[in-house]
Amino acid sequence: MKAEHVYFFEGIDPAPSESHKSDDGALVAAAAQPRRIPEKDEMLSDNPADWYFDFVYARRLTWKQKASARQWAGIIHQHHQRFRFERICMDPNGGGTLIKRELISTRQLLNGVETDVTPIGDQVDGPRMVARGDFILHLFKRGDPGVEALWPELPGDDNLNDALYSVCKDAVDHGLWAWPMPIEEWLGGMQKEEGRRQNGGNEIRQWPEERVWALKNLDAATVQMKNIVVATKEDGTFQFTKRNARQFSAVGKKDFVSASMYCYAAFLMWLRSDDWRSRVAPEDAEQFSGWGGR
Amino acid sequence: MWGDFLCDPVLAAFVIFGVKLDAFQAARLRYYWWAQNVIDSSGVSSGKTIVIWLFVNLRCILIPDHEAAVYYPVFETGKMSFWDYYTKFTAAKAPIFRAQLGQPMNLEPGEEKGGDGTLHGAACYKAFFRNGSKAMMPAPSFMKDAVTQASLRVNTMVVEEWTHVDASSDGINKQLIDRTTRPCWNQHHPIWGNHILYSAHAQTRMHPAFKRYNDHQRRVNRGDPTYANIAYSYKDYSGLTSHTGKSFREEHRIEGTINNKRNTCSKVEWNGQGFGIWGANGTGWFTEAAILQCVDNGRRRGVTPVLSRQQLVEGVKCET
Repeated sequence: MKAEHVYFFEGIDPAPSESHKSDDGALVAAAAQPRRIPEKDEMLSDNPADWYFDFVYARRLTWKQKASARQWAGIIHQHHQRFRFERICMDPNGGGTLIKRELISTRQLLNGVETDVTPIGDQVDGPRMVARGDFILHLFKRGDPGVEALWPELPGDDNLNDALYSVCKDAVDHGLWAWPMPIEEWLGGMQKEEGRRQNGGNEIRQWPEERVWALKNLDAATVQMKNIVVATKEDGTFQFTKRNARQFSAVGKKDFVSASMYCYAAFLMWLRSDDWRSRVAPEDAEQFSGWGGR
Repeated sequence: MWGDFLCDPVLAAFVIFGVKLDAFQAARLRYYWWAQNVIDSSGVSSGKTIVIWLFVNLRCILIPDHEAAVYYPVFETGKMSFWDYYTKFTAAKAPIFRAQLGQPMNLEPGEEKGGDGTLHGAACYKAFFRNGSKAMMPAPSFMKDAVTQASLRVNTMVVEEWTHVDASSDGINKQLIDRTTRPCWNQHHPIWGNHILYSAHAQTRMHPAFKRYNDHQRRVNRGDPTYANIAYSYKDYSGLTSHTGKSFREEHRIEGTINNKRNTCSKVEWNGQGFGIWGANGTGWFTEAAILQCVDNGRRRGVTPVLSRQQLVEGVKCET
């Protein structure tokens, strides 16, 4: 696999930090890679099934952090500097619209220090507010260009929710997603099976704390996935809203599940956007400067 | 003595009614007494009705000129389960209580005095107290959104089996809540202020009643001392000695019947009916097998958590 064909996406489920009973906020990042390296002059596929979609990072912000919208924006900018996301999708609820306003600022708090950055904006307001920026943000609501491209003319928010859960179920059922193996296996359970990871236990102990926590959080995401339930009637059939949408809830927390689903939505929006098609393929760009000299 | 009773309804129940409550029932009665808005989602066989009966009558006895109303979705159910306690607490068993009961001033057409000393009307049962208080159990006509209760004003209102009411009508919202507006001594005081108590075992979160429970829970989470959501179950009966000499657990926890009930319920139904837990009704959306397959995908392809693009790209280069 060529390293140039790795694309990163982030899903964000923000939450206000008001009290210890407040929901937790979550950020999940994933890497998408084509399953097959395209030939020269061949375009990458726009079919999600032709891509690996690997969850590689997760972070939770609890009420203890008491993160403000500005601090959330700083964290997202920091992630963007590290990963260089193609798209970010965020829940507008739980303070998402406030974070969006902060993201467009060129001054961000990175590691507690005011830093000049390239603003992150959405495709509607972003270009009107700043001349130069990364317009990669999608708020997951009807009316957003990315959402409209994927699911146009939905009658209600419940239908949008239904559409997201359905597309993610398809992805999981068909094995399009991938999570790292559980931390117990990293710590030794799988050492005998794969020679490549003979020193797995030692390897993880040398990781930075944030990376270990990313693994733990991705583990938590797989557990939370099992807690998602769809409402049914007493006869076992689905219970629908007035607009024929199914209703979903969770037994326990679902912050990582929501963030993971927004992350996948960001990937789908990017695939649908065709932005990546206009790029010069790395093969074409090599050693070609327009004028080759005499 | 009156002040002691007001501050500790459990003591009052023991002295006035001769009722010794189990520890969790005592805690329940204190919640009813000190919080003005309570939802009791306790499971079946946890002794809700007797504590509610004590709560209503104690408020009528200890607070002069107090009016309380108890609503059941079906009037007959109220007659058999709630009002029947007036028959059980006889003068021999609870003389102080009986001494507090008064007589109706006059009988309206269709009303008669029952053998339990209370007034039995066609559409409302009433118990009068010597201090001017009154306990009522009106027939609510919930199917008509309780429009028959339009002009009634009370200090204490109890809605039994409220989840059934919320599922079948808007009676609670449209008519009942604003009935609890009768003037009291101090509307801000936890005891003098007007009280609303909802009682029914928990349902699932998809049930129409969950909204009210959730709204209550939000107030509780915000630290509002006037709201409380409580739930007890048959498992809370303790080994303390009851009035019969047997332990409360031996006396009230009928295992055979409970097990029969449990076998006929789904897990989520039993969580609500047995333990008072508002569970999620439905089936898992993502199957465990599919999730494990995705984890296995990551395992086979060596997906690792990374903190940056560089970390992953370096990993990819190393593998190729």
